[in-house]
Amino acid sequence: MPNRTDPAVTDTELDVSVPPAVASALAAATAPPAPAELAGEQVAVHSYLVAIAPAPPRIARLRSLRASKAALAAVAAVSLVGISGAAAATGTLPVKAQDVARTSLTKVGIDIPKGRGKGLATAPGQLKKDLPVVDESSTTVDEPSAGKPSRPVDKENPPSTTKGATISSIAKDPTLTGAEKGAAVSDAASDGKSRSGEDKPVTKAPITAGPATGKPDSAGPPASSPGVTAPGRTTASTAGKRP
Amino acid sequence: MEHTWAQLLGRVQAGDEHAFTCLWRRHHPSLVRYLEIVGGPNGAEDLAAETWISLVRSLPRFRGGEAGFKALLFTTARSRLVDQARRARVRPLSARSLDERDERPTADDPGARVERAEATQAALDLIARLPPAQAEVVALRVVGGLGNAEVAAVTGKASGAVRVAYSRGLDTLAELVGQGGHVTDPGEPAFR
Repeated sequence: MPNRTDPAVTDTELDVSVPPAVASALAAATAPPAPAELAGEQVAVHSYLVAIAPAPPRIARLRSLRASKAALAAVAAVSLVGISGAAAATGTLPVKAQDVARTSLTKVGIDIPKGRGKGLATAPGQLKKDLPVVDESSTTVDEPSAGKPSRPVDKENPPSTTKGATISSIAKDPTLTGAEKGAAVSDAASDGKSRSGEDKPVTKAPITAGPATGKPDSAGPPASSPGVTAPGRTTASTAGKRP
Repeated sequence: MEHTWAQLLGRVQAGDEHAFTCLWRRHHPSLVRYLEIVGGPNGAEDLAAETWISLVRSLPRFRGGEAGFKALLFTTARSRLVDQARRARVRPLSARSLDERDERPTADDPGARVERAEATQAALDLIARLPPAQAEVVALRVVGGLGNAEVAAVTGKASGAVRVAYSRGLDTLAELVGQGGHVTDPGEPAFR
């Protein structure tokens, strides 16, 4: 703060000489401050401290906010995994979700039920033992040793696979006629319980089916196998129901 | 311990509380006195506090000498005065209104006036009796310690106009002193 104590002040910049009385007044206007004039120091220092160092608190707030978000995300993720895991373990997930969960968890050594319809999934190996099974291997597998491997369910049930392969080979056997082939298939499908073909004499005349279409069909019988429409479950089960 | 301006500013910008206190003590009294002369005693302290709050936000980016800092300080204070006038729904306190102001507002509350030496208060009252344009220029030149160029920058006037206003203000002060008394000692009360 300028302090002009010389009453005969000359303002060199303006080259103006002022009377001593005016100079005294100007000097008084620039006198050192009284203590009361400095009363607002604490407020000013506080505002300075708040304004001059805003970065650390902001960074700390941002970090705190990020940590909170991360914690919330972690809690949500853990909850989701826990709920999903519980649902997967009890087999109550939708089929596709259950299958995905099963595939993923199997890789890490956790065995959970396989998805099945809208109901509860069952444990592996339990499927064909306790529940009715559609044995698709007998209708789809022509050459078990060639091409793609059969579905996992077939691998887990070798007896059914063997039976399907046996029936398939019977159906392809060119030495059998239609009725003989049907009886053989029925017998194989029913594990010898079927009595198909014993009621009437075996003739070589075509009985049940017309001539083969000759269309290439991996699931169908060879063109030279009249009398057997499909060497699969339908024919076998129908034959098995015969007295 | 005396610091050069560069040292003081550097420490203030680095967050040194003590350095800021030195800076504030150096310039706050002249700021309040300027606000009292131009805007009246009512609320001068509050306006000064607002000025500092606004100023410290721009302190980290300030580059310049002490003269430039004082120009920034008083420019900010002048803006606060204009804002206050707008808030009070009176005529906007622009540079023109300051020039046209006939009488300096007086303190409604005697307690609003800062307690200081009577001679100092009398001198401030004497300057405040000048025509507004002259009073502001004299206050900035004498109380604020600004140079002619800085006063021109703060008030938005041409440098020549500032020179004229200051010269006429000193002449008017001489007339006032001749009419009402004289100041013989800065420590003694001269004007009542």
